[in-house]
Amino acid sequence: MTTLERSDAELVAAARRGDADSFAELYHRHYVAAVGIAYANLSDRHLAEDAAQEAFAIVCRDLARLRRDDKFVHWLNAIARKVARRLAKWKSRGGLPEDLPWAAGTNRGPDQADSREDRERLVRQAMQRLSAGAREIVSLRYFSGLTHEQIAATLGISADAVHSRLCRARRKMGDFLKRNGLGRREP
Amino acid sequence: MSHPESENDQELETMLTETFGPPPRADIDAWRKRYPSALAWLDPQRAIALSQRRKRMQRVFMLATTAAAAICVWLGMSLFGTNGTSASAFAETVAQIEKAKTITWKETVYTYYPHTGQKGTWVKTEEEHAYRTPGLYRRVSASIDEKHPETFVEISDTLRGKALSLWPKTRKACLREVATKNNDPKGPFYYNMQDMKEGHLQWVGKRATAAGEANVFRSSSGSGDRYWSIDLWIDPKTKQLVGKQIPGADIYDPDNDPRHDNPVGEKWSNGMPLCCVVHDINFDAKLDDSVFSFTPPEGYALTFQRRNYVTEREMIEYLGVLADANGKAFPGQEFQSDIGSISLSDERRKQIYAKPIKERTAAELKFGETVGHYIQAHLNQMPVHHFITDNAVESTFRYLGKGVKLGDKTAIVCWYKLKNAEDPNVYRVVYGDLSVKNVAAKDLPLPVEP
Repeated sequence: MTTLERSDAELVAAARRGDADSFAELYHRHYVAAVGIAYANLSDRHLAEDAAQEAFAIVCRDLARLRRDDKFVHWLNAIARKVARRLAKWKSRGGLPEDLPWAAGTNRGPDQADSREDRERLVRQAMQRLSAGAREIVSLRYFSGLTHEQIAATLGISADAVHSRLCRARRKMGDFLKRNGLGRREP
Repeated sequence: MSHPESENDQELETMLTETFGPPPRADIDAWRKRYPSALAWLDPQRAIALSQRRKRMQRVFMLATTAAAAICVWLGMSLFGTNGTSASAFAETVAQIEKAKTITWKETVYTYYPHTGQKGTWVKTEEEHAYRTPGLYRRVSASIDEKHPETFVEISDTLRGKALSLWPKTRKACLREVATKNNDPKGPFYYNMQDMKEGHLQWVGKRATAAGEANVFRSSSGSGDRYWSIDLWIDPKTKQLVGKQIPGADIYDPDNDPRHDNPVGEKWSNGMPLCCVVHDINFDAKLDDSVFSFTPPEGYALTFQRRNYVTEREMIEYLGVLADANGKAFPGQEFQSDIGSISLSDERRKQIYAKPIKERTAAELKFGETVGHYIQAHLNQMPVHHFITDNAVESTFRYLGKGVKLGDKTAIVCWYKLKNAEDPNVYRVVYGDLSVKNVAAKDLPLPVEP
């Protein structure tokens, strides 16, 4: 069956005319990626969702200023990054809670890296060692669950570039996780 | 699509996927609730200022959209009558629910009762229900105590916030104001009907019912510990809703729960509801006015009870009780769409209630007592929810407490504006040590307007 899916530019144009349904479709289409972008900056699921939701509120307010409707997704991502960085700043100042009680730098030995909590903490730490760009790709792939092609469309790069950057990032993370005793899966 | 390079890479891929858990889900309704005025920014007048060329393009887009919509409608119509889950497939079911002036149904409720030193058992009870528009409900249930059987009747008016409880055995009646709408004022199947209209249902198979074979459609939400589903049973011939199971059969199967064979021991705790099956649904049943009468039958001793409220201090104390029972850290929200649903996780609650009372810690006991106190006070929804509804200015409550340590003087747990506050611009901010301060909007760490 052929699907007749409207492009982002069409939805943006309709939303600018006050069509809330088109805006809702944009929201459904790009929310998960926006949360992924925010998560790369925040390492906190709930704050990342907060950031993405706030980004969409800003999008609503500033939609008339968007000059190129076909660049909507890049514009949205830039807003999500900005909001997430602001929240991250607050988080680092202690104004906001950590996602999990163990997230803030508990240092356990490799022999203790067996529990799911430890695994999550170490994966977060491994992500923090990546560049901002690589972190976004990892977050979009594993947190948001996007395919290479979807990540490519979200970030405006080729699928091959996504693949090679993801391989490099995964290798770095794998090395870090092995050094910290996470070379095996839970039974 | 992924491109693992080796077995190790595949293992890492799997671990990363598992670690991050299920992807987030877009919930536009939750967003609208959170930013109620945001959509107003999409001012259609701005489009008028666009260039002539853009207007021509827009007309082309409009034509294309109309054509697309027409094709979608045609495709939807062509799916009608099959097992497809398009909204139009439920048109007759929706119409029947929507037009019903009265509805009667029965509910089979499955409850688990843990017993000291034993595995606990599973009890099945039957209830009879009736509904009449607008917003009137009647429920007849029986106690599970076989030695002392007693019937209980409750008639409620969800629009006027009142309920009449009747105990026929002792001929007592209580007319009370209610804070919690246990029933939906728009009807017992309103939300199920919305799921049908919005195409949220997925056909998952067929099952035998008392009315014959029915199609089972499932509405599901959340993931992991928060996954929830409801099964709707629809007669394929008459298209009538003939049953409903909460939660769906993918979460609980009452026909194959081995616990009901366990021996009954000495009860020590309240039961935990496992499942509710709605059946014998009868639309437009003839019901006498007396079914929903708020005048007790002759000879009943009638008492009156005003409703209870949750004060600011009680709400803050409740948050403290939650944090104490949650390893000295404030928990998160149970439902994303309900900001007031701050509670222990389902897993933690199960952990507490699975322990015999004498083995519970002081914090766990306090949690159980507090929850019991609010249920006794007919504040069945979570206390924070009641506080927000009654005392906070709409859309001003914000919860940031998840993970905050109990006793932390600097970390914010939540903020809100109080109704009838002396200064309407001031927010009340609750901190981890349960202190509360007045803070101006500009000094809050997050913007309160889009």
